[in-house]
Amino acid sequence: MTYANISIEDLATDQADRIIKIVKISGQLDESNVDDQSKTIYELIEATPQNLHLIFDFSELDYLNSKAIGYLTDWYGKISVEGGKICIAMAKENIVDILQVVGLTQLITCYVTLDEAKTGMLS
Amino acid sequence: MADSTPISKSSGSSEENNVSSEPVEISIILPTNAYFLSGIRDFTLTMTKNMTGFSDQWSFRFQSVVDELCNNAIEHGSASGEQIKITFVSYPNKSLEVSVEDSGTGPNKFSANQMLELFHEQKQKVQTQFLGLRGRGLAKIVSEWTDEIIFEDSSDGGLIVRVRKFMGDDEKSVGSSSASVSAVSAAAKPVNQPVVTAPPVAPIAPVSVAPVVSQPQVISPIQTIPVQQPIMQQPIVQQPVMAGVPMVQPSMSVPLGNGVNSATIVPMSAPMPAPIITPMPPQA
Repeated sequence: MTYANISIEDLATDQADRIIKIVKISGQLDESNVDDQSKTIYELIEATPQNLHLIFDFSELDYLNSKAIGYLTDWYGKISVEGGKICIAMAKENIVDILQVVGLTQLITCYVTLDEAKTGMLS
Repeated sequence: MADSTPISKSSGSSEENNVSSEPVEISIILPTNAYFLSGIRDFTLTMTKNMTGFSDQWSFRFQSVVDELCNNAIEHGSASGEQIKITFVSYPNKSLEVSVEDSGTGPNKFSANQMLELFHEQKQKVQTQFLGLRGRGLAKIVSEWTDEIIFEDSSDGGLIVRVRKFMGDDEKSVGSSSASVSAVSAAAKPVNQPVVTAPPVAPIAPVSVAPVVSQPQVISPIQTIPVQQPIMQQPIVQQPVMAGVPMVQPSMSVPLGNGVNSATIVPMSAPMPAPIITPMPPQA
């Protein structure tokens, strides 16, 4: 199975109307691992059904396939319908490229830095 | 060793890349297990960067194209324990062709014509809706990042998906138009007659007739044209492919990582003739 790892960190905020978490995905999301890895995010969404704000830190993500993009789109739909929001930070050029070609950057904002993403989530 | 000409990379990099001017064909047989795909992606990236003249950005794009085609061949077209065949044909600084052949034993086996129909359905879906888990691989990623897609029934009952990207001024940009798409059905193939496609020097659609769909860039099926003396693939030359690539003799195994060990590299000894003429096997 291709290496991939997901770590989740809470972002402290004084805004009571939102729960912000930084989800760092490292390695490669492909056919061999994406179904298993996605369970972590679905559990997160289930545990925080409303006002969940996720910053996906893609600084160490080297590859994602179309199924991973499909999951990302599904997470966007589930979270945004419950008042939450997701964004992407520090994605490599090839990752942004594939997100653009499938049109996902029209739905999910991609920030160059993590600080910009945090600011975007807090605004 | 094959002649190699230093060529400045068009990506704007200050590096120079030694790209052989001769066409090179590389075939890889893989078990139908997604575990091996990371090795194929690594190979695709390295091969495209070093042997085709395409930019780094396009090398990453081909990595995705090949991965998506292999995923489809494994998931839909081949049963567990079978094999898929991936073939790269590089015409350096002109085009790169990739074909992926499944075994035709999978749970969702499609003929070339069925695949063409499915492709159009998926294409419409992904254009009209963003949400949904599946359907972006072929209809978006492969379609947007190649110039030609041909679905072809293989003589063994499987499906061959052949894609080609021509190198042009836009090789660094996201294609503004999707690939031309066509199908070659088994029934349409005359016995021992080659299929003739357009030369790889310009993004020209395959020789074709009878468009059956309304989208302007989609053509189906390809007309087969008899050729008296098919030009066969050049004989195998026992020489290393190029600088920067391991010394490989034809039929030698090339370690690809993840235990994949079955690449065969076949350098062609002369520049590719135009048009490309691919002899088709006799109909079963």
